[in-house]
Order: sequence, then structure tokens, then C-alpha cells
Amino acid sequence: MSTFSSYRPFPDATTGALAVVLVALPFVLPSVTLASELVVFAIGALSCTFLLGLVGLLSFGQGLFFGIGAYGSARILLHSNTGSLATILSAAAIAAVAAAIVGFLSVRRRGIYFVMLTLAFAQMGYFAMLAMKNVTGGENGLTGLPRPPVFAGFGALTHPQSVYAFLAAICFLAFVLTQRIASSPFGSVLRAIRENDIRADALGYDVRLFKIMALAFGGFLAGLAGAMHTIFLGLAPPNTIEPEMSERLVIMAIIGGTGSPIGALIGAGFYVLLADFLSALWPRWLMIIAFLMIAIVLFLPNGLWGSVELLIARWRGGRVRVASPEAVDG
Amino acid sequence: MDKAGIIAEKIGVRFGGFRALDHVNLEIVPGSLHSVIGPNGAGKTTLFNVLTGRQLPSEGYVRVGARDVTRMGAHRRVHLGIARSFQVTNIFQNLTVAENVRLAVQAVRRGEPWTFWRGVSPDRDVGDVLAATGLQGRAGDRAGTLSHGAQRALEIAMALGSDPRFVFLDEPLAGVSIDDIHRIKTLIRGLTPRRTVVLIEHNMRVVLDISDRITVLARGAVIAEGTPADIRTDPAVRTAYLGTAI
Repeated sequence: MSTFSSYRPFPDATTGALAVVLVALPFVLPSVTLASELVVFAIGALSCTFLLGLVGLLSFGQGLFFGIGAYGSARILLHSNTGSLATILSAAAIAAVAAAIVGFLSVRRRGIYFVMLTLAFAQMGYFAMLAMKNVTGGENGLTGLPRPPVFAGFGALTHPQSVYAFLAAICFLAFVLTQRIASSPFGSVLRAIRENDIRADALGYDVRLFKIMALAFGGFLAGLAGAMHTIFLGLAPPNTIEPEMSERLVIMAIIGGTGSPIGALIGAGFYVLLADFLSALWPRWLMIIAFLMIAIVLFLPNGLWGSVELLIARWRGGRVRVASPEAVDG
Repeated sequence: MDKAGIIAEKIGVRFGGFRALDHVNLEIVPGSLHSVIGPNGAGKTTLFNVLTGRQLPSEGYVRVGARDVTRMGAHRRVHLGIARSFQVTNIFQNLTVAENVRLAVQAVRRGEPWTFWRGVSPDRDVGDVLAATGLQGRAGDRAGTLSHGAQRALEIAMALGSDPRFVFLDEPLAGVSIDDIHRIKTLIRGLTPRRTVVLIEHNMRVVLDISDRITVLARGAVIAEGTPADIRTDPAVRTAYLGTAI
């Protein structure tokens, strides 16, 4: 089930389980908007899970691409009357191109230097947003956005339920695409780079180019999530491009576990639901998230989903293969 | 192109003030088994790194036939038919033996490494390479669980995965048990004349037995070159390296 840790056939049991969960969410959760928020952040976290779990790249810059997706889709909504689907896909494509450019510059360094570069780009993006007030609305963000039908006038997004259905469908497709990539020849190269990039290079793979393409796909996912966020909220607030967004996506990915795409859904779900519950109780709720993060890193190094997988493997009596988190590398 | 050899001219490599290689000339004749020997720290692995593209030389040129490849990266040289193994075992520990070899084979399949829309298709060459290196029984095992000797065999298998014209083997016999030495020696000798083999090895008995040509390095410079018979009797080699070994 750990599609990222080792090669698995596609589709697997988690693909079906994901579909069931997505259908059930709006009925199980207290509100359908909470379910929408959850699927948006599941894709955002997936961009980190994919990069860290499959390629071994820790990017602290995914919030930048989330923000580019959020603001990009907002600009498209303000200036044209394309459908919501085309808007989301175009904004995600812009984020992918931006991620490829950032990647082109960042993959020249490995390890902690790569991480620092992604962090620096995320900071730069935030201040660029503040500086370009006439494009981004500065500290007010972009507000009063329309929410056009899905495609060519069909699929009106007037009810929260229809918005959820639309976002959940995109979420499902993004997960399936990620799983497909993880169990393809391309995915096998990314896994090899994570395991040993020097050997991958010696075998004839252009490691930098593969990393850039992986970062572009990670940027696509983050941009997709940012654009979905704009459709969901009807506005693009500055916190979508804050460095804190980058942190939040990494935290979700690590809480859930980076061995499998499903970890992103679990991590985002855990974070979003806990935030919803705790923020009503205590304004300093982020402190509790921090405690939980520390506890998970110390005691469940494979994240929540990774620990569930271990339990399932043990219950089945199969050989337990611990896929410990990979060394941070660029 | 197929008849082209590898030519290194006036190779110099400096690490700060230290001269790892100084004015090294080397010509590798296609189809031959060419060994590079010398005491520890002589610069053998550095020379390998220059020839395979891991190390950019401070001076000099590397050519494959008429083509200057001095500045070409390691991954691109693989596509010219240059593959290598490593002195310190450098495999994908967490992947299966078959997947290690499959990644080596896949690297030179046109378009395959970028294919993301379908699963991994089986490749017959993987089985052939595993059989040639005696690893067919371990195909499904995690590479990290293999014995040291089997990991050395996997190193060679991965070098052969791209069906290279030139195979660079860096101490393939290091730490290999006596029982396996003969098998790996036969395997290496059998690679020629279809492939050109460049070998770094400390086991003098094997080197003198299977090499067509031997280059002796000491302190970053070539001190002798010739057939095994020449090297055996060369007085400079005897004092610098072999001592009383022969």
C-alpha cells in the first residue's frame, strides 16, 4: 500500500478506499464546507507527500505554488468568463511552470541547501504579493470573485454540496494521477533518485532534470489546491501565499506519513478537523498542533498512515517492512 | 564509432594544493581488458571518475574516438556506452535485486524513463543480466539483504544493465570470498572482446592473469605501462608498488 516506498500495482486498495471516503465525508462531517476545506488541503499536502515520499525532496516552498494557484485562478475569474474547471487547470499549469523555474534554480544544491532555497523562494513570493498591490490586492487579497459553472455553462456551483462534489472529483483524479505516476517507469526513476542519487546518475539518469519535472508536478498539485481554495472561498486571501502555508502543508504531510499518497489525506484531515475543533475552544490552538507534531515525529516516524500500515502488516502476520522516513535531500 | 577507444590526455586533477593526478596519459584499446594498478592513494579512482564523468579534470582532455567528452556529465556518458561500478558498494539497498538491474536497463531505453501513464513493463534483458552474474535466484530479495559477495556481483550487474561498450570496474573483488573470486574473474574476462573492460584491482594474481594491458599509477602519475609480463619485470614498479610480492 505504500506506493511511494516501493513499487505497487495500480490501482490498489487505497484507490477504492479513497473514493468511498470522499463520498462519505460530507455526511460524516459536521458541515459540507469543512469537507470541502479538507479535500483542498489534502491536495496541497499531497504535493509535499509526493516530493518527500517519492523523490526525497523536502520543499518548504509549496505554499508559494499554492498561492500562485490561488491568485492565478482569482485573476482568471476576474478577467474572463471561463468555467471553473478550466480556471483551476490553467492556474495549476501556471503554478507548475513557476515550480519548474524555482526547481531549475534550487536543484543545483542538495540537502539542507535545497531546503533553504525553497524557503527563500516562498518568502520572496509573499513579499512579491505585498509589493504588487494592483495585481494581488495587497493585504486585502482579491475579493468578490464569481463562481462560474464547471464547464461551458454546465454544472452550476451554487450550493455548497455541488462545490464539494466538484472539488472531491478533482481531488480523486489528482490522487489517481499521483498513484499512476508513482507506479510508472518515471516513478521508478524518482524512487531510485530518493534512494541513491549518485547511483541514479551513474546509471544514466539526468537527476537534475528528473527532480525539476518532479518539482513541476508538485507545483501543479499545490497550484491545483490553491485554485480549488479560491473556488471554494470565493476570494484569494493573503494567507494562501504566506510562508506559514508552506509550513502547514509540510506539517500535514508529515503527520499523515509520506510513504503513501493516502498519508496526505489522513494528515490534511487530521489537521483540518483538529483545527476546526480546537480553534473553537482555545485561540492558541496551534500550540497543541505543535505538540502533536513533536509527538508524531518522535513516536510515529512513519506518520499516522504509516503506523496504520504497520499494524495491518503485523495483523496479517506478513513480514513487517519499516520504510523509515528518507534522509532529507535535494 | 564502434571501433573507437577512450583516450585521456595530460589529465591533471587538483584538490586544493594536492595533486591527485598529474599529466596522466592513457589509451584504452577497444575490446581489451586494461587494468589500472597502484598503491593506495595513487589516484586510480580519481582517474576513473574523470573517465566516467564524475570528476571534472583541472587539466587535460578525455576523448571517446574523436569526440571530446571532458566536460560531459556521468549520466550522458552512459548513453555513449560508458558504465561503471563503484569501489564502495553503491546500490539501491531498499529496492529488490531485479529492480536494481531493471533501473540500469531502463536508463538507456528510449523514452521509457519519462513514461508516467502506464506501469513498468518486464524487460528480458534484466533476466539475462541476472543470469550472467549468477543472481537469478535472488531477483526478488531486497538488495540490502545480500551477502557482500552477492552485492559485489550486483554492482557488476548494474554496470552491465545498459549494455555498455566500456565497463569500468572499481575493485570488483574487494572483500569477495575466495570461492567467489574465480567466478567473478571468469565473468570479467568473458566480457571482452565484445566489451572493453577497464579494471582497478588490488588482487595482483588476478590482474596479472587476465589483463591485456596494465597501467601503473603512483602518486598521481603513470610510472609504467605494458603487458603483464612487462609489468612483472619492471624495476620501477617493483620498487614503487609490488615490493617483494612477486
